[in-house]
Order: sequence, then structure tokens, then C-alpha cells
Amino acid sequence: MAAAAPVPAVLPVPPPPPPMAAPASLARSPVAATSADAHRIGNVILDVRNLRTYFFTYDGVVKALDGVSFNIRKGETVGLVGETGCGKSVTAFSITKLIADPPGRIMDGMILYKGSNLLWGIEREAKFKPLKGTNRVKVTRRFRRIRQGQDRMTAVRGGGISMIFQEPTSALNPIFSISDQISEALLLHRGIPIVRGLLDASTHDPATIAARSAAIEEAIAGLVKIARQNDPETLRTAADAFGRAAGLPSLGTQAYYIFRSAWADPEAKVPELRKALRRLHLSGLRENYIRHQSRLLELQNELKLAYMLEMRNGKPETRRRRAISAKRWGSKLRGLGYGVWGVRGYVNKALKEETFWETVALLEGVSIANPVQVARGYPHELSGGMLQRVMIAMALSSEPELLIADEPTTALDVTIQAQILELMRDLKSRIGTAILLITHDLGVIAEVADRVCVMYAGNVVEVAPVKELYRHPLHPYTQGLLNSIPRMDQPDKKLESIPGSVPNLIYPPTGCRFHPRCPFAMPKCKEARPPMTVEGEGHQVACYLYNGPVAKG
Amino acid sequence: MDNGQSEVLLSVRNVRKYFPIRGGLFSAHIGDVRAVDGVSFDVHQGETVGLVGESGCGKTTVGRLLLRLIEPTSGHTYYRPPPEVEARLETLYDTLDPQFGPEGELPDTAAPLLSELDQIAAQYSLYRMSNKRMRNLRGKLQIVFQDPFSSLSPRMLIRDIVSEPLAIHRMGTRSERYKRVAELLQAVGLNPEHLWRFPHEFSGGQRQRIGIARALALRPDFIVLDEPTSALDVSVQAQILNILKKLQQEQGLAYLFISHHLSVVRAMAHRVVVMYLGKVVERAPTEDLFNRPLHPYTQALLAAIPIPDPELQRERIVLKGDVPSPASPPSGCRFHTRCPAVMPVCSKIDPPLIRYSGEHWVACHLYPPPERTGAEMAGAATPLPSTSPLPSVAS
Amino acid sequence: MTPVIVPPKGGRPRPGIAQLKRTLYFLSRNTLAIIGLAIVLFFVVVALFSLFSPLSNQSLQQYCSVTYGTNGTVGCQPVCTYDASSGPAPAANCYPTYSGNVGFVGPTVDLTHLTGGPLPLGSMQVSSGTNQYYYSIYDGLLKGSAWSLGIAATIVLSGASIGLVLGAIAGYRGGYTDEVIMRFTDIFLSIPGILLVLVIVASFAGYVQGLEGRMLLLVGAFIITWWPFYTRIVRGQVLVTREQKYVEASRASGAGTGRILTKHIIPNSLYPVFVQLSLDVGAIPLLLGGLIFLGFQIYPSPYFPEWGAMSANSVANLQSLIESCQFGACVFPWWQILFPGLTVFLFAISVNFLSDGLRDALDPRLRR
Repeated sequence: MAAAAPVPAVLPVPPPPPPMAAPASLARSPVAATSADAHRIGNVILDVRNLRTYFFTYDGVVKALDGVSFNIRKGETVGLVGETGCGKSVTAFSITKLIADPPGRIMDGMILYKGSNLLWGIEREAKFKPLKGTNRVKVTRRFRRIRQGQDRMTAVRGGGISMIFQEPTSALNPIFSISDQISEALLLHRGIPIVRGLLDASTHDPATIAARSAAIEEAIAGLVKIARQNDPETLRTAADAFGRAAGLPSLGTQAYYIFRSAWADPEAKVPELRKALRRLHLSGLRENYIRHQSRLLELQNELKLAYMLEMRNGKPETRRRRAISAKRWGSKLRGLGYGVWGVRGYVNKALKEETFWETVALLEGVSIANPVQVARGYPHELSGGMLQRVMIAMALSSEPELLIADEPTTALDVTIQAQILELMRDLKSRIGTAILLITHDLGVIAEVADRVCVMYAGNVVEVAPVKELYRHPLHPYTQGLLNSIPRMDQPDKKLESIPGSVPNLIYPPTGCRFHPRCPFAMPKCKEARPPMTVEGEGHQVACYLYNGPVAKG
Repeated sequence: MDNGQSEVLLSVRNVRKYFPIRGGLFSAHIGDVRAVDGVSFDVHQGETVGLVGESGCGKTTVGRLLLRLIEPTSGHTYYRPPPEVEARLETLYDTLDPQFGPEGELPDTAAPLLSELDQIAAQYSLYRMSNKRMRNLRGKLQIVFQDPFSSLSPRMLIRDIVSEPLAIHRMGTRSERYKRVAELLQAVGLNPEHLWRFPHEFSGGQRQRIGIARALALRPDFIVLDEPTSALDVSVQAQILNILKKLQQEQGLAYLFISHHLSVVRAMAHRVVVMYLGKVVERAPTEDLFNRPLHPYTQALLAAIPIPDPELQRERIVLKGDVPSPASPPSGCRFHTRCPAVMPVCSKIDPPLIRYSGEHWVACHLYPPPERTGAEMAGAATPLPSTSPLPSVAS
Repeated sequence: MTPVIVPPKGGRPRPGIAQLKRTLYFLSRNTLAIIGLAIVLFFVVVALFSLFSPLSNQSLQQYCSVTYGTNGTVGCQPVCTYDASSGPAPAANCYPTYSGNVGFVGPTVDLTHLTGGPLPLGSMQVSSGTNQYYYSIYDGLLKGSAWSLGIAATIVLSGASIGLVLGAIAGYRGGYTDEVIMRFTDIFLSIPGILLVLVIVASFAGYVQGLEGRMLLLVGAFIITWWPFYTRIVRGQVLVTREQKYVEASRASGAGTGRILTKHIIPNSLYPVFVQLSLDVGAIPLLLGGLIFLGFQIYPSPYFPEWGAMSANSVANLQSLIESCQFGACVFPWWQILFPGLTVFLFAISVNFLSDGLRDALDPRLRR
């Protein structure tokens, strides 16, 4: 990947503020806990506190999430496990603020991402009035504020936090090629390094050009020689060397694919390579266009930083944002000419090629065997497993800190699921993104996750490191779940089922939401929701059966 | 758990279903999607046969073919052949099986055997039955679907949904029918008061139970369970599986349990049939299959299932590539493009399903069939014993 | 022990009622739809009243012949009752009487306004020779609501029924049946609607007599033009419904095609038909008016009380109306053109609002 020139710190970074008071809302809820040690270590990238999301429907108010708290540390994979209706997908969509706004509303809570509260300003977005005589609530939404909230999320969505979804076959736009779609994501989130790289590589300084030409010629000669050997490893190294010589790593990827099948006659491919090199010669209109794009991307980045600052300080930065917006509009106006039919295709060519080969490199990273064909192709040509890989590539293109995977393998066959899980394990060790894996399959969790949060009916009931959870499940619900799974290694085990069914979230049970189905229910369970207590290293449970110290948040 | 001694309820023999692909200027028939390409297995009374495979392998189509909800392109499914006829069929097919061409055609030399087969088929094969007889048989062969949300008509009361099969066959008066509905609901563990509700008021697991109650209405012998728990949560799945087992014990039902979850199949089935791209690749009693999976695909399937135990280390066989499309299957053995143990012969010849040991059959070049005489390989008919145990069959 | 089957408290649940309540709730959140619904209901009530009101067997307008007395008094002389629906013009010596209160809401015509001032609200001047006939536009509109809605409802419901049956058969059977029915439908769709109506009416006009005959012909011509649209809609919906698992379950239990069609396919394919229905009901009076405006006399009389007829005829009569002045005061009878046109417009747009609201309320994807 192109080495990024450090983005200048446009805005000063203030010291972290004291924690904010919880905003007023329809009803108070008990403060749930987060792990104290994580804060001490200080590498928590996502801290969800007391998240409440309600859906206001014709049949009543569905209390989908009622005080969900957990955190995710850098590089770890957290599994969010629960059955249908427990609220795990709602949690994911709440974090990225993609809840369908009628009928849903995030009521309350804090989601701290790198110190910024993503839910800042939530309380001003709507007013609530319960209607007498029915169980419905009249919600007056202030759309301007809701829009502002959504604009703020653009600073984080896709960039710092990206998401992959359940149905890969319908998650990609069928009329655009794969490379078009991934390029869009690439430019949006990593555009600055790409564009800068291109501009730097196409310098007009005669001295650099001369030196570079010499290096390029040498690299080409090396490539031709190595291509004859038909060894992918050395070809890769040679291609990378070529890329370095030319000053643009994507040229290295391109060289690799040009020469990969050319072991019989590499000489014939050299003109193709030289044609690719022309990408470096930006001049005139093309160069201006790229500079224009660079300027737009920088301004966009400034805007994102302004939003992050707003969410961190809790103070609106309207003046600064307006100034940036004004500059952006100015820039766009100046760039109107590039939108004329015909011009855009011409000036865009270099950038498009650049992003195409970056896409190919990304697709290589997710173990797709023939990335060039896939990148040129369209979503309908690919199977579910390939599409899921493409989605993962797209999500990782922005090098996010957190990847939210919402049931990524549920729609896939078992053997393809195995491939995707292997890919995820590989990515974990190679890239080190934190993953929030949402699934109902306890087997998948056992294979991939480091820590597990078990959810039931909108509450987190147990949090534990993965081995600990399977060895000593504490909460009766977790125990019931583990007992009802048919196990390949224990074929004669009787399948125990949990009596009763998932509660109606419009009228959830009082106190602990599991008590109607719990074999160990006590009178206390009906009265109040049990707090999360610490029962071991990193192991927390919300159950009155256990008397550990209450976890602090 | 092996009910090998009980009577054969359904004998599926060489069933094929091709869906035509139309293309070109005048919607010409340019090819076929070979959804089911020569599938054979038996279902005995009171036992569960598990049918496993991934999407695109044709298992759903097989389920529907067994109920004659779609018509096959060729092949037969014999319903309740008496033991002598079943034995005769065994012998006939033993001889004929190696002679079937890739599309189910037989050489002319097999004509006399074919005519005998035809006579048996006319009497016992589901696909040759008259509409009237088929209609009467419908009650005995039922199906429960995968999706509990679309398998119940949203505008009908539960009472009407479950009593519909009875109404179709005009059984009893209305109040008698409703009484039976209440009994059925109780049998699946639902409250009879639920008669008066609509499907959307129930959860997925409850709806699936209603679907089972509907299937039981006409006292069937055999139910095709098409992935009945795939759309359900794990704890609900356990409830449904327990109910199904209970009903099997009480009423002696036979099931065809179609699923891609091998762990569930292991808990439920007595025998397992593994399919890949329209063909049976392995067929064995459950314990044999899981203790000793022979076919590389079966081994990969078993290895791919995530086990809910993070400490268990096991060999991970991850197959490369995607499932090929059934419209253009690979040549020779259909699995050879992904097989970790592929050999040169695999891309040329499609391995036949041969008996490996006891009831364990496998179709793989790794386990070559015992040597046969040259004449048999050439397709000449084996002369049969002159005294056939078959009772006279009306021609 | 056989369980006791007792219906729950409150009687048997009916799917229709709960669905209706829910639909009304969603409609009530949509202001335009409520306005539309109110206006449409108003028209329906008016139509029913005018049909069943005690004087309804008169599709008569009562006229009076204005007589001008010697001392400047104006009188109204009843001479005979003229049935505007039966013939083209009043007979030579027939001066009908205006009773002033035909229909259930109507102003009394104040004859004192006749002299010098503008003609009274609601009157339409008909001249035949030297005699002036007035007939109340109010009456016309009231009666017209019955006619317009009745014609529209008949056309639309018949067309929808035919379309439902044919579309369901075509969609469910597929194959040849589907092809044959759809090509047949295409034939009708390829001929411009208005043209087809005119051709049919013109060809068969000679064979029918009387008001009933002519109306039947008109309605029949429209139905023939309209049913293909419904067939297409229904067929599309049936293609979706027949893939549903509950249909397959019925087939697995041995249900025949007829049972599946009537119990499963058709009830679940009704929603798009409803929506299209409500749109068409608004469009038909407009079409009828348009036809008359083009000059085609499809009604037995030029003064037939039907909205489209009234608005079109008044425009057509404009020239002669302007030329006929009385007492030196020439008045441009704007109300004769405005009110019928306004009524049609109001009806059509209310129906459109209502159908938009209905579509949003019934759309299962917008479950809120």
C-alpha cells in the first residue's frame, strides 16, 4: 500500500474532558457496568455504555436494547452472541447509527470511540409524548438535528468503524463493477494518501525523473529475467522492486499481474508495462484535476476532524465547520468544468487506474485467487463466498480500527463458511483490526472470538473470555444455550431445550428478563434487573445467583 | 439405531431431474441444469434418513420428487413394495446400475430386464400412479418446510390452516375436523386455544410446530422435513427436534431429514445420504458415516462444522474454490475441482456408487469397486435365474 | 381427553377488522388521505341519497317557463314535466315546472333575481326557440354523483373481476395458457382506449334502445377497454404468490387448482388491485367528460345529468349561451362551466389522495 504522507494536524488536540452526565430521557435505567481494567490499560477503542434503543411502532414501544454495555479493545475479536430478537443486530446498527429512524430511536447512552461520544446530541433529536389509553408514544422528530447527527457520523462510518452485512449477494450494487465500488470506498477513506502518492510520483523535477528512469530500466530488465523462471514468489519481489523504483506501489501490483502468465515470452509484455508507466506522466489537465481532488479530499478530512472534535468536546464547532464547508463548495464550483461529459473520463484515467490496482491488491489480501478478473467483473458473476470476501476487502480498505461483522457467514454454505472463518483468523493475525462479530452460532464464536458477550432480550447477560465461557458458563441462559446445541463430539447427548419462548419486547418481563424461563428463578429476580458482577478474570455475569463485586463503569 | 429389518417404505431408484435451460433466438433448449442426476436410496418404515449437502446439491429437489410435487425426468420411486418385490428390484438394479448411461438411458441389450422393471413400476412406482390414486396417497406423504414464515398462509386462522388437508379430502364434518385440529396442536405441544389465532402472532418455533401439526393431519407414514430448523434459533431447534423424535416413536413415522447441519443430522438420523451437485457421494448408517467418513467431501463437511469448544484442536480441511454451478458440472467426478485427494482419473470418469462394506456405499475413485468380468463391463445382461420369486404381475 | 373448543372472549377474531383498524390508523396519519377519504365518502353519501330519495325516480329536471308580467313581475309557469334523459329537447309545447327543491339539498330558485341581475346560482339556461328553460346545476350535480360513481364503479369492478380471474389463471398456470391469455390481453392493450370505446359504441349504437341500453353499451365498451390493465397487475402478483410455501403445502395435501386459486392465490393478490381500482374510479368521470368534449354524443340527451356531460356540454354550449342575452343584460354564466368541472376535479383528486394513502397504508414493507 502507498506510504501515507502524514496528514497535517489541522486542529489542536485538546485534553480529554470529564465524562458527560447521561441525558434526560423517557425513563431512567440502571447504570450498567464496563470493565474497570480495560480503562486502566487504556486501549479501549469502543466503549458502549448504557445503550438504549427503542422502536416506536403501531403495536407499542419495542424496547429492543435496554442498557447494553460492553467494550472492545484494540485488536481483539469480541463475539456478540444471542438468538433472534435479542438485539445484537440492533446494537451494531446503533453503533453506526443506521437505525431506521421512523420507527427506531436511540434513546440514551454513550458510545465512546477513541474518546468521542458518537451519541452526542441524541437527546435533542426528538421529543416523546405517551398517548393516553394506548401503549403508543407520539414521537416528534426534529429532522434538522437528526440530519446533523447523521452528518457527524460520516466522520466515523466506513473509516474508523466499518461494517459487513449478512447477505453478501444483495449488499453490492449490481450495476457497478467491483473495482468501481471498492475504489469509491478507497477514495473516500484513504483518498489522501493515494492521491498524494500519485502526485509525488509524477514529479516534474528533471533530476528525479532521470534517476528514476535509470532505476526503472534496471527493474524492467530484472523483471523480464525473473519472469522466465515462472516462480510467483520471486516475481512478486521483483515486481515490488519495480514499483519502488517507479515510486508507485500499485505499479508493482500491475507488473506482477502483467508478467504472471508470461513466462514463455516476457519480452512481449514490456510495451504493456511501459504503457502502464505513462500513468506517472501527469501533466496539464490531468494533473490539475488530481490536485483538485486532493484539495477536496483534504477539506473533507478537515470536516471529519471537526466532527470528531465536536463529539469529543460536546461543543458544536459550527463556525469552523461552516468555514470548511464554504471552502469545499468553492472548490467544487471551481471543479465544475471537470464534470463535463467526456472531460471526466479523460482526466480521471490515471486516478482510476491507480485505484483499480489498489483494489486488486486489496482483493489479494482477502485470498481471492484471480483478483484482476474479479475486480473487472460484476457482483452477479460471483458466488456468495466471493462476494463476502469482496465485502470484507471493501470494509478493510479504509484500514478501520473496528470491523463490525453482522452475521457474515449465516447465509453461506458450511464449507464456504469455513473458508471465510479461516480468512478472518488470518486477517486477525496479519492486520490486527478489532472485530465485533455478531452471530447466533456458538461454534463460529469458538473458532474466531477472543471474548464473548452473551445477549438476551436486549441486555448483556454475560461477558467472558472465550475459553472461560465454554468451560464455566455462569448465566443460566448461557448454560441452556450450550446444552441445546447438538455436538459432533458428543453424539449421544440429549438435547435440552430452554422452556418457554423469547419475551415480547413491547411488554418485557420485569426485573431480569430471563426469569420466566430460568430454572433457578428467585423472587428477587422479578423485582429489579441484576447488575453486572465480576466473577473472575474478565468474567462478568448479570445474575442474582452470584455475589461478586459489582463491576464499575 | 439401525432399523435395517423393517419394511421398505420408499425405494428411490436412479431418479433424475433436469431443468431445461432456454436461450437463443427462439428459446431453444440449449442445455440442462442437472439438479438431480441419478439418486438412489431407501427409506424404511419408522426410520429417519438424513439427506445432507450444500446449496445447489439438489436435496430440496429430491424431497419434492419423493412427494411427486414435481415430475422426474427419469427414474422411479417405489412406494411400499412388498419384500419379494423389493428383493427382485435389488437384483434387477444390481445388474442394471452399471449399465445406466450418464443420462439414465439403457442399452438395448437390457430390454427384457427393462420390461420387467416396467411392469413392477406400473404397479408400485409413484410416478406411474393415476391422479386419483396419487391424491389418496397425498395424505401419507407429507412435507414440512424450512421457512416457518411463508409456509403458513397469513390470512387464514390456524384452525383453517391445519384443517385444510382434512377439508381437501372431505374427512368428517366441520366440528370433527376442528376437534382433530385441537388434538394435533396438543400433540405438538401447543395450546388448543391457539386455533383462533393468526400465524403472525406466533414465533418461528411455534409456527414450525403448526406446520408439523398440519403435516400430521392425515396420519402420514412419511414426512419430508426440508431443513425444518435452519431458520430457527438453537434452543428452539432443540424443542422441535425433540418433538419430532417423540412423534416418530409414537406414530412410527419415517422422515427424510434434509439439512446442511451435520451435527443436527447426527442427532436425528438413522442413515445418512450425502449429496454433491446432484449425485450421491456417500450413503451409510449414521455411526458408520461419522466414525469413518470415506468420501473426501464428507470429510471436509465434517471438518468444516464449527464446534462450540474453543479448546478442541482438530484438523481443518478447508476446501478451495466455490461450489460449481449445476448447469455446467465438472467432467468426470463432480468433486474433482475441489478435492484435496484428486487423481488424474477423477476428471475423466465419474465414479459409480459401490458398496464399500455392509451398508456403507461410496462413490470415489479412492475406493475402487471389486473387479468385474469384462462382459459385465461391456454391458451385456447377466442371465437371471429362471425361477423368479416375483408373484405374477398384471401387465 | 378431547379438548374443548371454545372461541375466545370477544367472539371469533376476524382478519378484516383488525386489518381495517390498522389501515385506518395509518391513513389517519396521512392528512391528504384523510381529506380525500372525507370527500369521497361525502360523494358516496350524496349519490346514495339521490338514488334513494323519494323523488329519485325523476331523472327529471323541472323547469319553469318565465313569464314577464305587464307590471314588471316575473312569474314561473309550469306547463309539463320534461324528462331530460329521454329525449333530445323538450317537445314543442312543453314548458315544464320547476319545483325548486328536487334532490335532497337544493336552493330554491329566487325568481326575483331573474330580472336584471345575474341568473340565480345553479341554473342552467336552456333555450329552445323563445322559451327559456332553467335547470338547476345543483340537481344535475347531485344526480350526477349517482351516475358518475355508479358508472365508474361498475366499469372498474367488472374490469377488475375479469382481470382477476384471467390474471390468476394465466399467472398460476403458466406455459401455454399464460401465453395465450397474455397475447390476447396485449391485443386489447395495443388499441388506444378512447378509440376502442368510440368504435364499440358507434358500431352498436343502432342496436340498443332507451336509456338503459345506451348506458349498458357505454359501460360495456369501457369494461372491454379496461380489463387488460387488471389482468397484468394480477398476473404479476400471482407469479409471486404462487411461489409461496403455503401454496406448495396445499398442493402437497392434494388441493386442486381451483381450491388453491380461490383460497390462497386470489385473496393474497388483491392489494395492488385495490390501489389501481381507486385510481381508475377517479379517472373515469374525467374520461367521459373528455369524450363528450370531443363532440361525441354518447348520452341520450345533451343535458344529461352526469358530471362529465355537464361540464363538457356547458363549454360546448358556451357560444350559444353568450349570444343569448336577456333584457339587455348579457351575463357570462361562469358557474355553468365551473361547478361541474370543479366537482369532477375534486372527485378525481380526492380519489388520488385516497389511493396514495391506501397504498402506503397497505404496503407490507412499510410496516411501522
